[in-house]
Amino acid sequence: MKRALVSLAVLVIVGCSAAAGFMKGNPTDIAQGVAESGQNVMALSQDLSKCDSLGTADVTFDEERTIGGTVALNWVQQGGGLLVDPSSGTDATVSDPKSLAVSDTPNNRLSKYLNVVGRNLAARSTRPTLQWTFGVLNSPAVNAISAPGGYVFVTRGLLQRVDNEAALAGVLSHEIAHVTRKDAFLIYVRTKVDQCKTLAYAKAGQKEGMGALRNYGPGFIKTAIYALDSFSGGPLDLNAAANNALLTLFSDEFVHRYLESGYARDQELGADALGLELTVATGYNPRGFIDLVGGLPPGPAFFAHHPPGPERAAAMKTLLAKKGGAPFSPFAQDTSQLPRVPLQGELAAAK
Amino acid sequence: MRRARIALLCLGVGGATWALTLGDRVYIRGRDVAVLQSTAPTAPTLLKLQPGDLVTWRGADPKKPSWHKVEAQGKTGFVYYANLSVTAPNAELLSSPQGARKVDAQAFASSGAAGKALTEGAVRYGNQDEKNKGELKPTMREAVRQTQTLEAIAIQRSSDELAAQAKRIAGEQR
Repeated sequence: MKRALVSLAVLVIVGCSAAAGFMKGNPTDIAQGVAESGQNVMALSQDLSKCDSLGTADVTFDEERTIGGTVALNWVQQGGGLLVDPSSGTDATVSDPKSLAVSDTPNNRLSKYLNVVGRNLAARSTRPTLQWTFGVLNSPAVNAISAPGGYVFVTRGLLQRVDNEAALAGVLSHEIAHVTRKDAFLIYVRTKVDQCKTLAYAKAGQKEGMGALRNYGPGFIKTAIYALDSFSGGPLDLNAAANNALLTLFSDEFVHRYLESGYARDQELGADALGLELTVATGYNPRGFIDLVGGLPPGPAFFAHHPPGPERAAAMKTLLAKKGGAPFSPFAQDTSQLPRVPLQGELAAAK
Repeated sequence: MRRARIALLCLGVGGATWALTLGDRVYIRGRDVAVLQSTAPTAPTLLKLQPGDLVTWRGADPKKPSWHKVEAQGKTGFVYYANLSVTAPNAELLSSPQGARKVDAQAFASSGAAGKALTEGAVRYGNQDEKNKGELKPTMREAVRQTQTLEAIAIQRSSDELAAQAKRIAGEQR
């Protein structure tokens, strides 16, 4: 099907170029039009081939962290901002977050607490050495979301719903699992190949390419095409300034696609299973999370982009009932004896 | 006695069977995992281990089966079972001029890549004018500032704070 579309695009290019020469009315122009069309066809074919190579190149940590950072910024903006009080020294000048002075405010204390809970969980994950970052979005919706590279967010609405740390740990573990399973890569890799091809078609003057990029200005598209021309195939350094337009195209479309359909159902249930294991391995009672998820009414206001709560809760209960697992499996013990652990810090104070 | 020596941790997962015998080498799966002198809540820490460190498994404590005896770096002590794993932590792929190269969790942790905050590319993305034209609040520039502050809060959490948190949860179990 894809090949048919490429062939059609090639025919259109040849036809249009030759027709342009024919309209000028002399054989030389017709011949020149055909020659130009041949070059265009060759260029489009090469560009499409480069785009395909993006789909087969491994996503390195550097790429994951860069695309994850842009996705995280979108979640922050669309989630109404973060419950933090920014330091005066932030912005592009931040070179070492370890030394950035953070003011002692209720919002920042809440974020500290969340990061202690979250990083203690993530330390037991299969990617313990990532730079894990946990934040609260200022949104009344009950939801949680993650971004590649180690960003995890929960909403203010969700924090108002949880009444013990085990439930909160379950929510964070589910999102940690999405990152360790690299669930976003499935959407992301498809997205970058598709966006690259859209750009290639736009460069070739095809309407479908130009139409899909209508939200971007001509200057931006020109910069993106220049980046595409400079790209020789294989891995792409999205952190380079010269590739910022490509990073923007990939990130914007990833966000759009995720918000349209979210992760697949099996990815969500897989993250529940792995997240539950992490929750129990850290010492929390798994019922805290199961009760939270199972008790939410259906509808987009609660855990949008996730399967229905009762279905998730039932799947997790089945998992717990099986017991056993690999050596040191958290499910080998009697999980009912584990504590729910009281909430602490600013979160407890706000209740 | 002999039976105790060949203690077996043998459990089935979806048809596959894992068997673990005394003396097997297993991985540490947490950061700054404390090896305690005994299973007592106040036991001193003998050493701290990192993800991917290998230890020799000496079996679960008969009285407190959540605590397992291990040997590492010439010392014998107890580790909470959930910090042990039969599989190594995931390897990470790092970019290099020669192409992507796979590194284990320890090499990754010391590579500098692990400590990366919002990358230059991501900051550039958020600060571009086109991203800051709409009415949406916060603006992307504000989102960059907020995220950088959050990352500072996250990265400044010390291993002592995380150890205290782990102890707090463990304390609730007792």
